[in-house]
Amino acid sequence: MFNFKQPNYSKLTDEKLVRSIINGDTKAFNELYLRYSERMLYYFYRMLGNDRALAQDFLQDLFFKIIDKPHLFDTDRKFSTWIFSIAYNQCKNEYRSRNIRGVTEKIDNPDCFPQDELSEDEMPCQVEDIFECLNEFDEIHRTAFLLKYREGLSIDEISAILDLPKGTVKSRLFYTRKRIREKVQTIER
Amino acid sequence: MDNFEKHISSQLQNDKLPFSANPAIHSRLMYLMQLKSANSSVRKNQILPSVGSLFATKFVAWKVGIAALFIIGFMGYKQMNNPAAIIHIADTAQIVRTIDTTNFILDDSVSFH
Repeated sequence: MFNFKQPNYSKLTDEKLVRSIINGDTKAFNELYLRYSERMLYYFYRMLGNDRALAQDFLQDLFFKIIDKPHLFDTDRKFSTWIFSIAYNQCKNEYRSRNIRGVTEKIDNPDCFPQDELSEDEMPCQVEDIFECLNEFDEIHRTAFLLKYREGLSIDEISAILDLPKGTVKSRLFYTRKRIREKVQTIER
Repeated sequence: MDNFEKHISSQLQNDKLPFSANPAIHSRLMYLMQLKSANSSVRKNQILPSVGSLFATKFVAWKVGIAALFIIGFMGYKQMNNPAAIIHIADTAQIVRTIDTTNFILDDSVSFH
């Protein structure tokens, strides 16, 4: 009489998966983790000065927050916007605490060098040039740049994640792009 | 997007980390999720919240309306099935044939002499 069919999780949208997580569905969480873990790890790694251990810790904290309070997600919004805004706030808090502690990445934390344990073959030079330049900027510029060119998000989505007007996001992107262009041109010469 | 933007975009999108997420993180999170799932009200299969929502003040107008429809329907049904309200009418024509046995003509009857 009651034929409860198991949903095909890989075909469900992120938003539906979060609704299932609210109801305690472990398979839905597993699917969401598989979809986002690598993307978020990349974001944290690049945002936190290429620190592998810290990126892994932040990844765990991020998904812990999703498990703990999935009901805070507004189902009318996109899940990707929500998860990146949580991740961005984590990074912002980390930068703030570093500033309070007076810690600079390159002096006190040897794990934070851009070339952390990576050989020339593993990372193409051009990408490293981009990130070397990107490290000069604050978390807003870095996040806007990564979300735009790595994740392919729209200005509207980035604006929602950073909680900034669209014009501000555009100008930050323009300035970051201009600076990177100059840097790349200098290297090419 | 100009060429420079396209170049940056392709560089970043093709960029791969030489490591992946620690599997221990996945295991820990799944364990945590299972603990959370065990406490979930849906898992406990409680009927009280659904019964409670029936008597909650939310959508009270709809609930009263539906209840009123049920009551009206029930009253109408009772009225229709009341025996005193049933009127019996003849719906067929019945033909009664009477046989007069006193003037019976015995033409073919047997005569006794």
